[in-house]
Amino acid sequence: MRSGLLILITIILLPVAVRAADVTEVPAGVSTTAVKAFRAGLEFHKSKQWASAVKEYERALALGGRFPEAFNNLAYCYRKLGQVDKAIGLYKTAIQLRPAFPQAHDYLARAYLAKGDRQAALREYEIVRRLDSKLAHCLWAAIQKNDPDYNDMPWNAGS
Amino acid sequence: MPALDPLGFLLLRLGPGIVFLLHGFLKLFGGHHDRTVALFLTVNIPLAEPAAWLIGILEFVGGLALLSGVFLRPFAALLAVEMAAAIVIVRLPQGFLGGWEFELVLLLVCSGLAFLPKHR
Repeated sequence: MRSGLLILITIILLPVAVRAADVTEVPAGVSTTAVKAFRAGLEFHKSKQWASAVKEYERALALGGRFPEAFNNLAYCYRKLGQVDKAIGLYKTAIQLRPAFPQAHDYLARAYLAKGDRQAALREYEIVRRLDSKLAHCLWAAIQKNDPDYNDMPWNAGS
Repeated sequence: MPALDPLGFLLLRLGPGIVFLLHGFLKLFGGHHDRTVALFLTVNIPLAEPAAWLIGILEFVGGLALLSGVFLRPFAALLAVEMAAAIVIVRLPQGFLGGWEFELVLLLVCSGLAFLPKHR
């Protein structure tokens, strides 16, 4: 009974865990100081303190942590701060570094949506659909609602 | 020019042959087709869907050609062109180490194989 409940909870939480892991990982070879700054950024990010998160992510990048997750998360915070054009540039950098990065394509689509460019958002949706069907499902709902923020927090996926 | 040792010649073909055969297999039959289309859409390659099938076929058949030595030079040339395109279109922004180093090795080996004299 108890183990059954545990399995059920695991199944329910698994998609959340999977999505969260994709934007919190640090590739091998990144300096410890950059990782530390990135992790500090993540903490602010989780508590929606966007300006503080930006500072830490930028510090991570300045310390040589030029990995896709850092650009992606920094872009996310800039979008939340209303600096959509800056966010778009950073998402594009994240995608240049890792073209098959579903979250960055997802968020880029949402940034385009925030700018009112539905066509560009749909182009990115086509890419997300090929890379991650679950993520594409969430993005499609956001596009349909014309709401870039709909279901977009990696730590609240599914809510 | 001294003739190539058959074992050395086989070993030279083995590396890229296995790599291209496996990558082609994954693109055609192993569920990597969608990922390839997504990549092509990302870098604005026209007709991404058919292009992804074409690249899968090129890598699969090209891998077989490198391993067997049949139609070696034309396929080695085509694969070298593919690697040059991959470096320029996709890999350059990622830097050399951990970026385009592997494609460069494949490009150089395939170019070398393409330039081999016809009658060894």
